Amino acid sequence: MPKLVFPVLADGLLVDVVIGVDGATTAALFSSGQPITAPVPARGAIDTGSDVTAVSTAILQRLGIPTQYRTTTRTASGILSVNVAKASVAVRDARDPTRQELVEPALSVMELTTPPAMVEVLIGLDFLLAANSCSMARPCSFRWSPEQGVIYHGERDRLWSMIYFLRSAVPS
Amino acid sequence: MNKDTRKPMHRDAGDQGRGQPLRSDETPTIAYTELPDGSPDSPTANEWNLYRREVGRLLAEGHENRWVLIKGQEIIGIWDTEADARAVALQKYLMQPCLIQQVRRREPIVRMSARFWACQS
Repeated sequence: MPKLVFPVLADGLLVDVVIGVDGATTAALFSSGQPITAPVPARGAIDTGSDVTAVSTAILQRLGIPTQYRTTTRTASGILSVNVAKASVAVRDARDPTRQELVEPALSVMELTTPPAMVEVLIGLDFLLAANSCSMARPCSFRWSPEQGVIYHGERDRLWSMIYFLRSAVPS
Repeated sequence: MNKDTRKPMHRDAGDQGRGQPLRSDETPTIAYTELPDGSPDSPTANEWNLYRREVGRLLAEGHENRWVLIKGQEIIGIWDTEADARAVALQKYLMQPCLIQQVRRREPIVRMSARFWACQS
């Protein structure tokens, strides 16, 4: 069973991520003979308070990913319309690149205009629930263990994938 | 005396969600007539504001739930699926800003955390 294990840190549930141009755009760039920018590794934080994954503007600009969608969200001062772009988002273990990644090849992501230095990506529920293949027809669940921490798990392409966040030290 | 109907919170929470699918009617929405302006510094502000002006007409013409592609001040076309609209966007406006938008009577409002808003200028 593919699984990713990360420690719980003071800054939250941090994961290694790789942001890239989405699959359809990559194919279009390739067929038109245009260069494809290499994916950008970054640090992300699991953010279950957000419905949508957000990526720093700097990363999107480095990849040349344009805004092609918009969505509405609520702030303390009212409803706002915000920029959305399509990107490939992968969660992986940077210490062990041979481990399987959790990949969303075409995720709609919001822009983070002024992210803190440590975190350039907020992994929202869209990524976590997609990893669980959640839908109206297919409800899913998450597990929380006071001893172990939080466990997200799901089925993708007939493979079970898991992200563990351990309160204790990461086992070797 | 009224009977105390309180139950332990953990029992309520567990019973409520167990085995139940996500309810789409729990997603807050906003009417198309109340869509906010696009921020002037957004690369798709023009496209968004054109959509806001035209969405009522598109709905009246029976395009609800279809996908519209807008570039600048022009509606390029309307398709049944996002994939169809995006394919045209990739062909005509590869790596350029444009707007691919589903025509909706009510627009969903996505929830973003305080952590997200702390990262916005």
